[in-house]
Amino acid sequence: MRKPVATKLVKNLLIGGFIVAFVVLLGVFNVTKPRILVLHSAAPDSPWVQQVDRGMREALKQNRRPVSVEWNYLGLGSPTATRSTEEARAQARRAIEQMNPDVLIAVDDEANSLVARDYIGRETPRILYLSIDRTPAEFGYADAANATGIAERMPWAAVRDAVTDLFPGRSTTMAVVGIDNETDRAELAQLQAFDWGPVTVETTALVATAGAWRDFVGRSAGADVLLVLGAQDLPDEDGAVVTAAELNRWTQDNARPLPIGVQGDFVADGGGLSLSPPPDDYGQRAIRLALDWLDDRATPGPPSPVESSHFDVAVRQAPLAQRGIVLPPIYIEAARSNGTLFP
Amino acid sequence: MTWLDSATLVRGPAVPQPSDLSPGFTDARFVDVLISHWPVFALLAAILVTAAGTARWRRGSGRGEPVPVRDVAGWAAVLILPPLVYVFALASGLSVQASIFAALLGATVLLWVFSLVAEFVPALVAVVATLVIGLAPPDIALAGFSSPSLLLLLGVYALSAVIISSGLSYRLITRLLLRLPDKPVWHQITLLGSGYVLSPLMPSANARLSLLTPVFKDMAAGLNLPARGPAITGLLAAMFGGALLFSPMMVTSKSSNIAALSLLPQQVQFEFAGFFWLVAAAVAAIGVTMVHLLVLPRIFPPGAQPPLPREHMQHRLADMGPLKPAEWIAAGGFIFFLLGSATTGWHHVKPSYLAGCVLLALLLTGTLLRKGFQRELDWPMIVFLLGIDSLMRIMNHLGLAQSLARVVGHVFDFVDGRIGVFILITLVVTLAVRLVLPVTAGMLTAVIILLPVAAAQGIHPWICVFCAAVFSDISFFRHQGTNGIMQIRAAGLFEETDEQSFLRYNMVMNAARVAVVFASIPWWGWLELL
Repeated sequence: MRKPVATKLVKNLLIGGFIVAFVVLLGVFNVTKPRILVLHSAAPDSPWVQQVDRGMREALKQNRRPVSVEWNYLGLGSPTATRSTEEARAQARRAIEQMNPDVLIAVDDEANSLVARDYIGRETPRILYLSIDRTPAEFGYADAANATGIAERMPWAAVRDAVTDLFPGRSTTMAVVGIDNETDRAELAQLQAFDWGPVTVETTALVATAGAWRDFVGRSAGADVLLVLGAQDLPDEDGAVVTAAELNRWTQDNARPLPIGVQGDFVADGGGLSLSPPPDDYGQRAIRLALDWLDDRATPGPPSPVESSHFDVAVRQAPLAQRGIVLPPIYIEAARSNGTLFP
Repeated sequence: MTWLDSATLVRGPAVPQPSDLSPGFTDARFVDVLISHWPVFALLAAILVTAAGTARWRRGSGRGEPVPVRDVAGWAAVLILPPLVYVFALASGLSVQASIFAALLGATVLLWVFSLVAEFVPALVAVVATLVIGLAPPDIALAGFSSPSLLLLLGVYALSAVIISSGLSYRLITRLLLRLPDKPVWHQITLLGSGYVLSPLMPSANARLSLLTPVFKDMAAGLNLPARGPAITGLLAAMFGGALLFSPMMVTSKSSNIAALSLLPQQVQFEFAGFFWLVAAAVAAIGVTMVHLLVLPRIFPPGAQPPLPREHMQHRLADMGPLKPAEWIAAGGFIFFLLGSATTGWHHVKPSYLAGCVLLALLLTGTLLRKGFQRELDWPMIVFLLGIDSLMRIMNHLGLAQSLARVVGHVFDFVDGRIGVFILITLVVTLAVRLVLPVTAGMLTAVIILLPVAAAQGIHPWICVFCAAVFSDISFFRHQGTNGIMQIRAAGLFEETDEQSFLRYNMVMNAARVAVVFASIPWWGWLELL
């Protein structure tokens, strides 16, 4: 007699097959889904890094495609950094080997020069540089098929216009202070290559201690404007650490020239005016570019690299009023709409 | 925020924008996608070959007892079809994530269609898979379980359980039966009317059914109706009609009506947010009620019924004595919930929170004890409904309905502004979507697909929403019973009634729904909606 095809055994085998296929397919999908590694130059507690990450998370919220995203921080850029450059670099390379990301988003110059550039010409990871102040060509990205991203153009034209608006009808002098690290060196190089006329850049200094910072601010008393590239935690003579926030506040209170910051946290820390690259916007755009790059169906190939000269305006009215500075209304309204207008 | 937007393009080719890409299904694309996913199909083939080989090898092992062919066919379909759905969706231009979810939905529907597992399991499978893959974050994928619906379901089920266990429903129905003429039509009208009264207050047919079920049970018991006879089945149909027929007739009678209203233009929302919805739906509402009243005695002929044992019932009532505390609490909870739901516009407390308060009252007073909470609440049904809610939220999150609308594109240009053709299109689309999705998600998906068509064809958007609302209550297959039939089955009511004749009644009402929508065309013309 012919045995029935639909037996309990066949049914159980099919149920088992479904469970196996279900688990295997879900597992394989998870293993093969696109991976993005974000590599920051600075430490996770840096306000700039936190704001870039906030922008990234905002963009990821809008994303519907399953992707794995992990963050890694070199923790460099500050003279008080406890890790050696080599240690940070090796740790980042191990993270890359371990995760094997499809896209590596390298934020700021240090992450690109120390880590990301080593992967030029490889199939993976694809390199998405973000907020680099040197040109992509200086990192070797110009002809690399696996590199694209957003290069930062500091808002020097906007700073010059602000200075000429605030000191109309006369030639103005400017001093520049920053930290002796790769990012500020690149920013300073951009600044020196810029045509500042009618503003004259008198003196510049990249320092590594709080004492040197205070000395330079004292020496620049003859300038009209003090441009603050970006404060970091700095060691003091007595071995204590002066935080970036304390340094910003001290500079605003003690500098004779009008301080203008080019980092968003300058005003948040107590400064009067800043024109700074927008970290949230950078973060959002980096994630969008990475997702675009990963989407081979709608937009095959790498997205086009861009230079960004976007900037945010931040204003704190009290310290400006103390100095008798009256900003044109456009700055106040720009800061208000950006949520960075402080009383 | 960025003040100046001066990003400049440095190098690189122009990237095609999504709008430049031509969505749409082609055989060649299907084959391409199929080939590029060959490992998946290789795995499935390996599993099937292994299963066939093992089955052949173990033939004499004693596990050869036969099972229904339907079960084996169902599991085979669950194994093979979802990957094909994925490939088809991808080849049709849907995004990767929408295609994966379509495949998961396909597996869910097959598990339902073939009744391979308990009803609440497939929705959980889809939710868990969604979380594992990362298609949606937990706050979306589990949103159904953290929504106010959880409180509504817990509260309503608990109230319904206490109304029965306290004896309140028995007491009320006995009194009602003693006062009403002893004729089946009056018993049926009582249940139909109760459902209609609850409809504008409670935007969930399942919740209405939960509250009416104890009334039905006690009425059937009080009338001594023979099991599986036409009388008890007619009574069940009356309860089902009462809970469901009015759903599309008022904006507050169905949660998807409220959601769909928000998709309409502002001025249309304002116009239809209140009583005017019922006015525009009046012909359909009267129509389905008339058909229901006409077909009920024909499908369920009353026949010779034993007279009501009035004396016995009066004795029972006397034995029960005055209202017990549990009955007072159950009655108070019911009236509180009913009045609270009716006056939401005044106090702004949602019915689901009121249900939460009722639940608390029942628990705090000890009317519902730990054992009752465990046993008397229909937990599988609660998980099922909340799982469905979660599935709908995942769909929204992934924009699956919008993707479908894009893929459908200009397919419906032939409607050419003709309302009759548009109604037919709405019927076809809604029924097609309802093959896969439950009532709420099905109606909303159909609305999202059809609203652009209505706008392009110059047809009033409310008509589109109303048609989808009416047609989404239609059900043919067992798995489509999210309109309440599944709940009736879960409550075991089909064990005491004639399921076949009930389903025949349902089929007639399906046809009636289509007929009343067409019959509404002149009325809509008179209201200047056309």
